[in-house]
Amino acid sequence: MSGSDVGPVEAGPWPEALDARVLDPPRVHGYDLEEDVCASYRFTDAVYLAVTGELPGETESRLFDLACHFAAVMSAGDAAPHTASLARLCAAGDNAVVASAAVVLADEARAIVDAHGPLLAWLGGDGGGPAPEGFTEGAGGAAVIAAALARRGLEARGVDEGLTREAALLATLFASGVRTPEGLVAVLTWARLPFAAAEAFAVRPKAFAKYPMRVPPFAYEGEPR
Amino acid sequence: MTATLPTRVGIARWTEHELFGRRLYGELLGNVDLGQWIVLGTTGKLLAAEDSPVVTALAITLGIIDPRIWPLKVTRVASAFGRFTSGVACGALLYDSATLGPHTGTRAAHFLCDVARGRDAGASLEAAVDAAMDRQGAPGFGVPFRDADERIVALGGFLRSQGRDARPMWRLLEAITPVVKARKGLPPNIAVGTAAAMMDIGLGPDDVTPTGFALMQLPQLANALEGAEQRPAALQRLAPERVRYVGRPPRRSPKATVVDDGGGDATRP
Repeated sequence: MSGSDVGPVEAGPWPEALDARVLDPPRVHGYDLEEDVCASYRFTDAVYLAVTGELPGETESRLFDLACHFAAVMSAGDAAPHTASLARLCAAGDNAVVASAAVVLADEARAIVDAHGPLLAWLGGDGGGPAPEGFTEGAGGAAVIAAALARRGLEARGVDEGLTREAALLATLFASGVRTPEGLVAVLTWARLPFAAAEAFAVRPKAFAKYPMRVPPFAYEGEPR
Repeated sequence: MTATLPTRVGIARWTEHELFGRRLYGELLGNVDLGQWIVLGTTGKLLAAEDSPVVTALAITLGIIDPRIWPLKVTRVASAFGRFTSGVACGALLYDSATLGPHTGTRAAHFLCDVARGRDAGASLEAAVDAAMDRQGAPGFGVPFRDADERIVALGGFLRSQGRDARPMWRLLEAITPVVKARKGLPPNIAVGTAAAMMDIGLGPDDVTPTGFALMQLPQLANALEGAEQRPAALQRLAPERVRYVGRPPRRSPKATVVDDGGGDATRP
């Protein structure tokens, strides 16, 4: 084909439909959310299904649910709720507040997953040995997660080896069956989003005088490059 | 104790503000044009006024605006509920990509610099290109779906008309193009053209990404604006006949299977 009205979009053999690989309403990965999954499973199980492609067994379900609880713990000073709070302060719409939180949560999740690459490789390996260096902080880091697991009769490899809290959280998700980087990013983002948004929605729009402008302090280095 | 964060970007004062050490009103206002302003913001460097037309030219050659092209399509889909800011935001997020968008310009710039260093060290052009490709592949080369990248063709024509095709990085690009074509069968694309043109006006390789990003905003903004105005149902949800499911076939959950077999309580998760 040729002519001034024709370009690659007109000329190319593009498909006529978008391929759907997971979502086939009301099914996700083949399971009917409305008639089947809703009747017999928790919503966290449905999220697990979305992320892993399979419904969890009982142990996986409890590990996943526990991990999501711990993932949701955050400070108002964490970047995601802080970003969303600034959006709210500037009277951005509710959609923008939530979207802002989601962007930063996903960035943070990816940073966490990237930083724990060696740990995830160790968790997925066949060999024994201690957890790799850099992910342990002695007693105390993951104690609350270890205690929660123990109370429920659950186990996650590495948690009782003095992992940091973040490492223990990833280890628990890994034990539940969420093992891919994209799955971990999706779960961490989803689990935290309502909590980050809630903090932001508690901010009064346009209450600029209430915002700590000098936290943290910036020092201007006014020399031209 | 909260750490103090250094910044060279700027500071706001009562009646005058600074940007990279330059006074906004007393120094920049009325004395820099938009191209210089953009480069100042993205690099901290004040471009010579005579080089500013190159910035404008790059913005135009990067200005493909067809809403069907993926980085622009995303702004249409994301703005489908009436918010152009969402379209722009998702368009920006898409450019967090090593394959497509402004990051490819910095990769291409480093590739050109690698070749240039090889030449400076005395290697032949072919040897310098081969060594650089061994290390980095051929970023900035390869044109999908068509024989040539019309954007770099247009950019080259502009630079020639300005006598800027004799500048070192553009000359190097023109010299290595047949070598890369012979080795890999790949023609140059706009990423390496942008990289060469930007370095020839004094920007560094790492400046190419943020400056390229700034210059690529208008097509995304234009599409986000129109998309938000249209709020098309066709993009809020594609028509069912335009979605083809190719995933797992229908199946029953293990717990549903237990209920089906007469055990368990389907009403309690």
